[in-house]
Amino acid sequence: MDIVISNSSEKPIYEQITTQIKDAIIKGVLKEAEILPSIRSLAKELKISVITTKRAYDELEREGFITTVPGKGTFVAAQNKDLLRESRIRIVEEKLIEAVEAAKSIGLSLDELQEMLKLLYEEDD
Amino acid sequence: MLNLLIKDILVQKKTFIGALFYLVFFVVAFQSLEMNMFTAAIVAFVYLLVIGGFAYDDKSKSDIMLNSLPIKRENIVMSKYISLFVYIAIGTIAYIAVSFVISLLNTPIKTYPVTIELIVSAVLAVSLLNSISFPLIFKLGYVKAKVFNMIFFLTFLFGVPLLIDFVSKADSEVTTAVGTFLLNQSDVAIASELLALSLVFLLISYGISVRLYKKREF
Amino acid sequence: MEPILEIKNLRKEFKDFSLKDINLTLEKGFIMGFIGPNGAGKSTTIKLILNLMNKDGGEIKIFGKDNIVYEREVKNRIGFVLDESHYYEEITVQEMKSIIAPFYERWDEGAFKKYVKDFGLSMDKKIKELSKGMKMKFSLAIALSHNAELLIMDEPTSGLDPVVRSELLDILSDLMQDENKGVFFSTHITSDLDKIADYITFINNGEIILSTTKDDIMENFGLIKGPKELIRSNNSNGFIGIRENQYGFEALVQNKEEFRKLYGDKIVVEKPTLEDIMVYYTRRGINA
Repeated sequence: MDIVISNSSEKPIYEQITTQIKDAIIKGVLKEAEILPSIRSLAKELKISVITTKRAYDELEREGFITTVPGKGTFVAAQNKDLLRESRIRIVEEKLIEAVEAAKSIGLSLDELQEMLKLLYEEDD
Repeated sequence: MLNLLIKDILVQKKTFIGALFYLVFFVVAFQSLEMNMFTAAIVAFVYLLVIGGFAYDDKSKSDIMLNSLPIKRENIVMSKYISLFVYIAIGTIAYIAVSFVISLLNTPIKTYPVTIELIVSAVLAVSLLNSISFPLIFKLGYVKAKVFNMIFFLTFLFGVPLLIDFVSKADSEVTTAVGTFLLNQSDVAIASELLALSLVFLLISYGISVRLYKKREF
Repeated sequence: MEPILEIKNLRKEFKDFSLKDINLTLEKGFIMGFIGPNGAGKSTTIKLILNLMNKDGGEIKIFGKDNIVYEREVKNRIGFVLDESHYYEEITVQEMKSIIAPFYERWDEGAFKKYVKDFGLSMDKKIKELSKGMKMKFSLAIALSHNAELLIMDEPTSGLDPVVRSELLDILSDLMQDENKGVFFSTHITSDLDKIADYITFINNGEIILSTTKDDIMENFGLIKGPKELIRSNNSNGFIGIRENQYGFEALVQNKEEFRKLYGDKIVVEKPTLEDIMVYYTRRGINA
């Protein structure tokens, strides 16, 4: 797992951590039941306050991404991956709605839109 | 507290050598005092080492470190008082050694044996001198107390042997009465009484020193 | 669980300076940075904690116990690193250690040897032969070798180069892996604390100006830069301190979000460093 913190970013550090961990979980970089570093060792490695890492973990736990077992450690929680996927799918849906509306407004046809989508999707490979 | 004593000795390795030379100097320079040169020599020897200890503490501001450690201030004070006896013991042994060496050489320098009376008078003199100077040092710190201590020291050094001399030659009712009293006592009794007197001085002084040192701020 | 260090209404009066209403709390498992300009009262506070000075009022509790009533017990569990090493210059490191170690009930010789090795300390060198950085490391080695739970440091890094300072911070980081320990670290070199501190207490002129988490400071305080006209029109309220130059102004505020909403694009909002905080609060004192 890689976590990179930017001190000059407007985003609070704890938020940067939660976002990156969420992403890692969604992408599967962090697998279910995988153990996470303790808040203290994470704080030490990233050279930040343990209050910050605790806040990040507390939020992640509140949202169901991770779970802490006393005495054992903090682990990636089980089912969230699907929930996350769903929420991410919703985001994709929203963006597609935007694209569709933008296309319609300039008179792009469905076929042209699909062609664009295909090209863009394959571009990254 | 043993460590505090060891500390005072450890930091003063050089001073001990100097103190040894002082001893030799006293034996040679104070021939006129005859036996009593022992008392003077011991007072000087102890003074040097005690002051040396305080001086080192002061130079390194070690009071701050010592008082940050889990040590009671009473113990810091106590160790200084106990060190007096340690130095008296070391000084006596050194004196005997120095006298022995000098007696082997064929010089006009006369040496005298160490007697119980002499040791007792040394203990008394050391106790008296330091009972007065210690509270000053604990209250003011070594540097400020230096002047007073110098005066006391010199007064004692020259004063006590002179006093002993004067008393033994003087002729008054008081001295006769005291003399009679003392003559009626055995040597052991006199020795114990003088030692007890020394102890009393030291205890009173210790009580004062502790109170002063506890109030001290660094 | 009681705080590892708790100071209530501490007061100390001198001829021309006084420490008043000092209140702060540190729970175990955290590092508190105690910042302030020279002469603000940091060293005095620490000396009062260690009972090197007599307080005029207030209460100091360490591990939940009064620092005077339980002085010896409490000091056994405290490791200290003060700004000047008050050791005897003429003796060796080994000798100095042998004088200090027996006073601690839970002295750990193994730990000491390990630190000596890690720090590259030479046991046979005389104290006076050590560099300033080495003296600090020696203090630290001793402070960390008797199972101390609270580490008190008074300007441990002043006069030291950035490399040594960085090493110290790494050591503190390692120490804090144990959630039962606490560190109280006074300094005017705030860059050391920007990264590592959990809590910040800022003292100036003998008074606590603020005491909160570093996150709170970093997220809410802001350095605002903009054209001079903005401060003319504004009633200067909410500005902790302002600096004007030929081309604009720079100000420290406690609630950057409000200012962002108020002025939007007209201003630049940046995260302040602890140094900025210290400077702006201090300058305000001078100008007020």
